[in-house]
Parts: sequence; structure tokens; C-alpha cells
Amino acid sequence: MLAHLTIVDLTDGLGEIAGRMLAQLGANVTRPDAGSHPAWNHGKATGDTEALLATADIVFRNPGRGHAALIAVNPKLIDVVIAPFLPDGPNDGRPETDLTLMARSGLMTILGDPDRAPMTMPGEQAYALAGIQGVTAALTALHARAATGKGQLVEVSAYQSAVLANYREPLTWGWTGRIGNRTGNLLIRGKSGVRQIWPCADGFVTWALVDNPPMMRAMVKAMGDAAGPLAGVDWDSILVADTPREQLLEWEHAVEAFFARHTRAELGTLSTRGGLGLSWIDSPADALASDHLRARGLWTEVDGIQLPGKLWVSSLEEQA
Amino acid sequence: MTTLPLAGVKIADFSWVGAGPRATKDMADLGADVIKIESRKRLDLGRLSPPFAGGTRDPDASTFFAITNTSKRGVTINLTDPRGVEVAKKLVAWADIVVENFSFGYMDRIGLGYDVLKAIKPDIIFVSVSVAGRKGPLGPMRGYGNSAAALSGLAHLSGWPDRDPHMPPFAYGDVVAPMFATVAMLAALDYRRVTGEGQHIDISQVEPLVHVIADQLHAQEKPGNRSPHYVPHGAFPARGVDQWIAIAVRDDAEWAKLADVAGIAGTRFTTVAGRKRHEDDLEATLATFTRRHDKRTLADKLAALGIPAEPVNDGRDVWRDPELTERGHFREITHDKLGTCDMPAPPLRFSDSAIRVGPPPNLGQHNHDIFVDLLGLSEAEVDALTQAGALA
Repeated sequence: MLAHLTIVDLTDGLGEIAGRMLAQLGANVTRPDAGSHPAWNHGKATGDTEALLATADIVFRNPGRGHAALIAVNPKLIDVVIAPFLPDGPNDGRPETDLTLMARSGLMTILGDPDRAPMTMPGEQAYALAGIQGVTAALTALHARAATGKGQLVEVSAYQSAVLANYREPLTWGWTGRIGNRTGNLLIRGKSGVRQIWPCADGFVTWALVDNPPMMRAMVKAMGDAAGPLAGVDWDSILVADTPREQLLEWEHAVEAFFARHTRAELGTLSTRGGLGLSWIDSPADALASDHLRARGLWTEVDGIQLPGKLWVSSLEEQA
Repeated sequence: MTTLPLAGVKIADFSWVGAGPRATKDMADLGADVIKIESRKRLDLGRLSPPFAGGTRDPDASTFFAITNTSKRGVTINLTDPRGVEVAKKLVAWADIVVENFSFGYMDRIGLGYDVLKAIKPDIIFVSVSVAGRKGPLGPMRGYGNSAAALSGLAHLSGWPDRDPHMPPFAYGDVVAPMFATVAMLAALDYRRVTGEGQHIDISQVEPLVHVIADQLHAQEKPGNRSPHYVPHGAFPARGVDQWIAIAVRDDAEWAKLADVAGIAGTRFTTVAGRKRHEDDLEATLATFTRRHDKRTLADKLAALGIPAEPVNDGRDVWRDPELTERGHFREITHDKLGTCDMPAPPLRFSDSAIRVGPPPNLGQHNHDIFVDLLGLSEAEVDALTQAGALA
């Protein structure tokens, strides 16, 4: 899809996924080294990146070298700098890791259980989010270049990328004065909260009472006689988010008993047939063995390790 | 004067709630003309999501909807009415890109499947976002952001190693999948520029999450807050109720500085291997130091020494963070229901292009502009279709 693009990847950890994504789309991506982890670097070549900078379309890098020198040699270059903070600001140069950016973004304070410390997410999510934003930055500048003929500098803030992902908490404070904190597996919306993780006969599933009347009616129908107090709810006239927790608990007890009698597969089938919005919870091993993900061609093997390859399914593949 | 980098790109946006609209918000903030197609007959559930400006359940006053739909124009079309679909087809003919995230088969059922779109506009770029993707045995699955966390392994890997799976309290699948959709639109635009061809791109919410946890897929256990390479690496108590500081020590030199500041003596923590071997003791010892200090003051002190450290911020802290004010992360809009308020911008800065953040559309706000001025329908025709419920 993007085989016409030449890309130099000078990132070190922060932003490596950017080159990975474009390599997956067919771009010729070259790094000076193997990078930090195969997951973010397969599909890239290693080579003389300094020589390539003179003719490359895009360079992904972290702060540290001057834009002026790069653009002087290659005025059409799109120079994407992925940084913890936008350069030349109050926090320029402050030492950061993915963990500390996640902490500052407000995401950690809502992750985990109320009786323990705040948590980060698995992997390096601030770094990943910033890298994906880096691809958006690069391709947006590429679109602009088609009109102007000129490259430009685009800077990406990993901190702001994480804050953008934390779409609820700053907003909730700004509009209601409420501060969110860790609620375990209880999802707080409006004035109340709903349970999200449920044990079932052979593992766990996720489902929640939400303000989606068709989905709620579908669950009541699937539960049949086990629906109990849920059967009488007029989902169009209530706001689940503002229903008192005591009332929700009564409804959730009925759901819990129903789920406990069924396996993940049984509940998954009910959901697919009825549109319940329920999912069984897969481990990474389950995901790696998933018939569905295999059918979509997600996986590729890199040095004997199964890793995600394709970003999506395109009609271009069927044409090919 | 700088220009919007995506000026001239036209998007017919049929998407709703979060997984599609976040992608089209990106495009709109970067200059694309995004027309959001929605209906009073089947409200975008994002419009029903609190908090609401003014405190009442007004579909034009949801701040959740607002942050997800900045810079767009909006029309109401009842897609269950064939006359509405005919008007929607005129928007397809106008558009470069069509985006949708309806349930499986809906676009086909209302007569707006890819084959129809392609017949209307042969080089159309059609982007679908769904829980598990359209293709594959789980294609018909209905769900929301949590489903993606469940099926990708993210929920299983989240939370403490000794406890049940943990569902992040925000729909991370609704965050990452639309970012992939934005990339898809931009990549497809460039491919079309080079080849003249459009395409249908089928994005799953599960797969983007698999990509962002790819380095953890083969981990032997849930990581919690710990890192295999950095020790200590976690959140430690600070002075005050539920106040915490995150600290990540990347090497022995950084540890030596931290040990000096914290007054932690002894040799068993000197090396990474030693700290890893005694990690429980290390964390407990460090906590006895951190809990005596203000999270911001200590984080700034450690950062000044070159040790990565940040306060664990809450929503208020983030809202007030001078870094965000200084860098223009939140930008002021004026809206008749929301008043003058701040909305988030893309986390990008271009040297020669601009970014905008405009108000979200009220329900049907641009009906006249779009139906009459853009598509060329007569006012009488629009009135009749509106009265008949086709443009509602």
C-alpha cells in the first residue's frame, strides 16, 4: 500500500511502533540497529540510515538532533520527532519512562484496586500511543506535502497522547468537580457504578449494565426466567449511569447467578446470537490460538515467535 | 500563514459512540470537512453519555459527545427510511471517505454496502470499525470497547498478578482502534493519490490492542507495575490520602542517587540483579521514604537528579497541569449549550501546518447548509423529507 515510501527510523523505544506500522503497510523502513523489541521492529531493515536521510520521505526520531540540518539536505523530508513532551517547553529534557508518563497522564490513578497502589497498563502504552500519533503526524504531513512540495517538522507529545487516551477524568473534573479513583472492576458512570468482570463456569466474562437499551433488552431475553427483577425494567426511560448502586446490585445478583451456570463459550454464543455485548476473557495464549484472529491473518512469525502483523483487513487483499 | 494539512479532504461520517467518531475527530481537527450523519430516531449513544453541561440530559449538551466530535458538521438522516438513504448516497458521492461502525451487516441492509458505495464513487475509501472486525467467524459479534480488552488478552494481563483479570475503567479499545482508523484513512488517501484506487478497510477493535501489547503476548505472568529491566519500577505512597509517586530507576547509577536521597544504605540493592532479587524489600524500604514527602516536590527533586519520577495525577491535576496549558492541549471553543469551554486537540505540532479545534455539531445543526447549499436539494424538498421523517 505504501511501497513508494522510504522511511528512516531512529527511535529508541519511544515511537518504535510508528515504523513498524508503516513497514506493515509496505513502506521501506530502515533502522541503524535492531531496536528494543522484535514486536516493534519486525519488517524493518537495518542499514546506513545517515545516507538514506538525504532521500527519505519520512524520518521518525526522538529529540536530540537539529531539524535545520536535516531539511537543508532534504527539503522534502517529513521529520517526525516523538518526545515525552513537546520540545522547547517547561518539561523539555525531564527524564521520563512509559511508567512515569502514564502516572502524570492521570491514567494510573484510576487503574487497579482501591486497596492497593495505582497501576500502569501492561506493556508501554504511552510509548505506543505516541508512536501511533507519530504515524498520523507523518501521513498528515505527507498529504500536505503533496500540495506544497515541501516537508516539515512534526512533533508528537507522548504525555499528551496519554492524556488524550484518558478521555474521562480531566473532563469529569472540569465539568462536575468529581475526581475519579480506583474502583477495581466497578465502572463508574454518572452517579453510580456497574460491575464489569464476572466469573462464569470456566473462567471470566465481561459485561455491564449500560445505557444501551437494545443490548439490555437482549440480555433480559437471553436470561429468560432467570432475569427476575431485570424483566420489569423499562430501559428507554431510565439512565443506568444514574441508577442507585443498591438497585444495580439487585439486578447484578440475577446476572451473576445466570453467568455462573454457563461456560465462556455458551455465553459467547448467546451474545453473538442475541447481541448482548458480552465477551469472554481470553488470555494471551487464547488470543494467540484464536481461530478468528488466524482467519483474519493477524499473525506473522518472527524468528519463531508469533507476533501481530497485519493492521487491518483491506479489500485490496481480495483483489490481489 | 499556515493552512490546515487535511483541507479539502471530505468525509461522510456515519459512525457513532466512540470507536469511529474519535477517528473522524482527528481528521476534522486536522482540517478535513467531516459531515456527521446521525438521526433523532436512533440517537448517537455518545449524546446520552454524561457529564452534561447544565446537568440535564440534553443530547446537545453531552461533554463526552463534544470531546469526541469537535470540528465536524452534522446532519440528521433517518437511515431506516429509503428516502433518507437516497440523500445519504448524495453525501457518498461528495465524499472521499466514508466511515461507519454500525453492527454487522447494517450498512448492507440499508443499501449502503461497499459495492453500492463503489458504484456511486469508484475510488471511495470506506472504513469500517467493529469489535472483532467484519471478516472472520466473530464478525457478527456485538460489543463495545471492553470486548476488545477481553478478546485481545489486555484484560487478562491487567491488574495485580495475584488477582482476577482487570478491566481498565475506560474503553481502551475505543481509544486505540480509532487511532488505527485515522492511520487507515490517511494511508488509503496516499494510496489513492498514487494509484487512483479506493478500498474498503475493515478494522477490528481487538487487533489494535493486540498490537499495543505485542511485547507482552509471550510473558509468563502478569507484569503488575514491575519491569524486567528497571528496578524499582512502580507507584509508591506519598504524603496525603491516596497520594502516590511513580518512580522508575533505569540503572545502577540512578539507583545510587536515589539511595543517597532516600538514605537507603547497604549493598544488596546496589545492582539490578540484587534489587530484582530483593524487590519486595526494596519497594517496602523505598515506601517508608516516599510516604513522608509531597508527590510533586519529590518527583521534581528526583527528576532534577535525572531519575524518572512523576506524581500519580488525578483528573484535577491533569486539568490544571501547566504543561498542557503551555502546549495548547486544551483549546477554547464556544458552543450554544456548552458555553465557552476547553476541548482536547491532537497531541501534535506542525512547523508549517495548522490544527483547529471547533465546536461539535448540535443534532441536525447543518441540515440546511448540507442538504440545500452543498447537495443542491430544494428547500421545499428538504422540508417535505423532514416532515416525512426521512431527514430526522
